[in-house]
Amino acid sequence: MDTAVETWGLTKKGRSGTAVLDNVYLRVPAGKALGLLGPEGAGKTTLFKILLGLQKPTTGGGFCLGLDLVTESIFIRDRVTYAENKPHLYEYLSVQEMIDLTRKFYSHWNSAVADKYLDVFELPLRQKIKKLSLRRKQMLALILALAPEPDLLLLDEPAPSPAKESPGQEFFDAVTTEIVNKGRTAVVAARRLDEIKMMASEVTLIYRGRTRGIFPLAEIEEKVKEEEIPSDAGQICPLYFPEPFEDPRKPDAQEPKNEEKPENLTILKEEKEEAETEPDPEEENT
Amino acid sequence: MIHGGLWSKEAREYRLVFIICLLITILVGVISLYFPHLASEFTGNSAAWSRWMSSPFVDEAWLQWNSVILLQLSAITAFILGFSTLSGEVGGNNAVSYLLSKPVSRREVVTTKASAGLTFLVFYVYGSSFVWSALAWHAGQQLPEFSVFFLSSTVTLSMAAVIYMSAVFFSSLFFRTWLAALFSIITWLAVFTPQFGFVSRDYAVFLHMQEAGFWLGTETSFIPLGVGIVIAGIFYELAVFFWDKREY
Repeated sequence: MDTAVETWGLTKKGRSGTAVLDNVYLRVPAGKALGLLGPEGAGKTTLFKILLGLQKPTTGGGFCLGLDLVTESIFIRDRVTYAENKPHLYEYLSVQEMIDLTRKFYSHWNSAVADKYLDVFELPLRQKIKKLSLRRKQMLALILALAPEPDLLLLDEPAPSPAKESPGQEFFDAVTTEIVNKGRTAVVAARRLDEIKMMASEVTLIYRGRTRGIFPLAEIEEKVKEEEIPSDAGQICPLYFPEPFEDPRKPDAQEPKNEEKPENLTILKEEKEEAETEPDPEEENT
Repeated sequence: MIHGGLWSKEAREYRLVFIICLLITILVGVISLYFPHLASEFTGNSAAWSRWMSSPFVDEAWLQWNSVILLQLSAITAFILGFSTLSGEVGGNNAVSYLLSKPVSRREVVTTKASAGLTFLVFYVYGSSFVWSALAWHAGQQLPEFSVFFLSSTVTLSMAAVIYMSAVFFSSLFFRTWLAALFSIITWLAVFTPQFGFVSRDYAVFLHMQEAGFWLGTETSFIPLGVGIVIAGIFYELAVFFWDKREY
């Protein structure tokens, strides 16, 4: 399988009808670490939650590891793990108890991996989770995500600003060793380019609920240098989503016209065109 | 359908509430047996208490335990165990994204949590009744036949199960535990209200589950037992339905 994730026309609307994700066409190549760069509220976490089956798409669909996002989500979750930047774990449990609980959910669990990173991160097994610092909770969450040896790891903003909340180099080394070097797939959502730089060499941009392309990291870095802007998603994304680009979350927002697309755009163009040319049954009836 | 690891976690969460509720119930039982004057002062019904406590009015004593003490305290215990079952994952532990990102279905989550709570209710009802029986025997009361003891406790348990499952249902509707608690308490106050009126008393849903009739030898227990199981099952299915619809 050369594609880990494939979505088409994925749209997620909130209760008020505003689109959190808007017509997302995404293809994540298998065996690589891909950065998902976008500012706060761009839809990164929502996309991850849809991939895990925590939320259902309003329209559109997709496959994750060849499994349908909506109907086979329980099987997806056995092979896909997820680590949040602020992990919500059971605070009253100890590190050991949390590991024991998580192990029982998965069909496969490599205790050697868990033990290795417990040593590397120097996590005390008997320590209650509520007494761990945020950095240590992130490390524990990563161990819980690595030990099932997932085919796909979803990392949600692993190194948020401020820097004191960043989990450190050994965190990123663990992802590289256990996921990237072993030919597995990782998607790293981030707000800053340097968060992605430590693990991924390719980047997809997400902005106002839409995704764009897979760009080599070097290309985006060069663009950042050229434009003399900070390596922040809020500054980078507008360069790749040229104006006029209306926020789809505004009620009267419309599809941008004559939108320029970067040359190396790898959106599933053919499928998108098919979807666009497909006649609307309501229109046909009228 | 029941996830072993999750069940253990739930048992750990429930155990403190279980122990406290069990101890309080046993304490009330001890007061009713050994310090009836305290109970009579509290309830303001000294004549009834003294009559209940004097042999051979064994039926009356057991009626007091099963229809009043166990019924009321098991209802409170069921509320406390139930209303944080699902909403506690969102508003309390805030670990719902951890839990639901694991390869476990939502029905499995509800079933496991509900079964853990019901198991504690079973231990609570039979355990407290057993302890009270031992204390009653020590106080000189005549013990009922085992079948009578078991069946009457089972009917009380079925009522507690209905209240527990209704609280679980409300906890599937709300992100905040206090809202789930509030709505389940309001609902059950409304259900219990007819019991307090002379005219409406006969129509009160759970009057017939207090086992009064059983102890007085006039009614069968099987109808309220069956009704309790069916209603608890309906609340379980509703809880699964709404929990499955929620997005986190």
